Amino acid sequence: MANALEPGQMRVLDKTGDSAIQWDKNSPDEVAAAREAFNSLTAKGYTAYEASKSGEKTSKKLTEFDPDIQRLVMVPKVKGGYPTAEPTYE
Amino acid sequence: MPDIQVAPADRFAVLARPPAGLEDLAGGRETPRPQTNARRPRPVAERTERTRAPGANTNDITSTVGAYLNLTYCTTGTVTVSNLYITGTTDTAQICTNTVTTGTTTCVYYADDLDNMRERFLTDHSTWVFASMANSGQREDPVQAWERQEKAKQAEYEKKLAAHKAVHLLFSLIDDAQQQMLLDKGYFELDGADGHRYRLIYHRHGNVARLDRRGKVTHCWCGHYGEDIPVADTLVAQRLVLEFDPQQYLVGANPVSQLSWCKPFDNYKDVLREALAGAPEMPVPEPKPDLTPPIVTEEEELVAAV
Repeated sequence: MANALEPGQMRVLDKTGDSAIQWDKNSPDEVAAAREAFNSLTAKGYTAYEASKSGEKTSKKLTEFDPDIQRLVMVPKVKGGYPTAEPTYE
Repeated sequence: MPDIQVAPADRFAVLARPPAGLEDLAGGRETPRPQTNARRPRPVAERTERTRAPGANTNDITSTVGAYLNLTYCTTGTVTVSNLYITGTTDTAQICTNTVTTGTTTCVYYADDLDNMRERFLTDHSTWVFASMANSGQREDPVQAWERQEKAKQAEYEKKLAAHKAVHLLFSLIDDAQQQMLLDKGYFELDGADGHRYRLIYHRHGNVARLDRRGKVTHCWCGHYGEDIPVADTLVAQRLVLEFDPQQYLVGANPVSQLSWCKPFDNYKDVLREALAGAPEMPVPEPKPDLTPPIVTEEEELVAAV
């Protein structure tokens, strides 16, 4: 859960590395803007994960915006790379 | 600024004769000219032997980086003129675009370190090809060249900055052992929610390998998260998805049959260390070329007149 003094942060993976959207959970305007961005991205196929601290297991996959979460990472949908081929079993 | 001096037409040496009836396109020269470049470091035979393809003629072209090169060539009976801009030591260009021909002709330039001598390699899709000597080498506008160079510098800076941000985000999400493994081996491993162990590989291919209990790669998948997303961002996404819902990744990614492809960049250490070292420095723009004519004083005019 978010520290009351620290703003929440949404990291959206993109070609600039990532774009960060911040909000103060005590500011209704900022929370509304972050929620709108969240909904817009999930509608585009992004998946939201709560980014745990270094090495900890991911605890949450989010379907709704939660302003109490301190750090979210928005992950775009995966696309296959090479032409499809059956995996080789050894 | 790149040297954009244009090679004079008389430095072209045509080593292959065009088909009968098409000599005009070769600048009216109907017979092969002798080699004119005295600085040529190796015998012609050796150079053409190295690059010649079956059924293709080979020409030697002298040009420089920053120059335009007009090529006149013929594929399956259609004559086409192509304007190529020489950007680097090795330029590969597909010269059949925007033509009515159906074959694919690939043209590869090999730059010579000593005298900018370039050789053209043709696949055997080509019937014949030669340089249009009359129009070869047009000087690029200095302002356009400056703009192109500045854009390239800015793009390179943005790419490095993105890699820097992505690597820092990745390192904030993996533990010390995983960080060290990534720096040492170019990959790190984690336990997926499905009970399997996965290896996330630092490579543009976005490969993920599944390991057996002995640590041997049994399966490999390839998946991307969008164009131009830094490699480290791909690993961030893979780390989150595989630890929570591996099936989501495995359904979207493609299985790779060649398990030997599951390996990192050759230079992953340099890339990671550079990204971790700090944010890249902003490029300093070169001064824009001044094309206004110099102001000539009366005294200078007098001197010039004398």
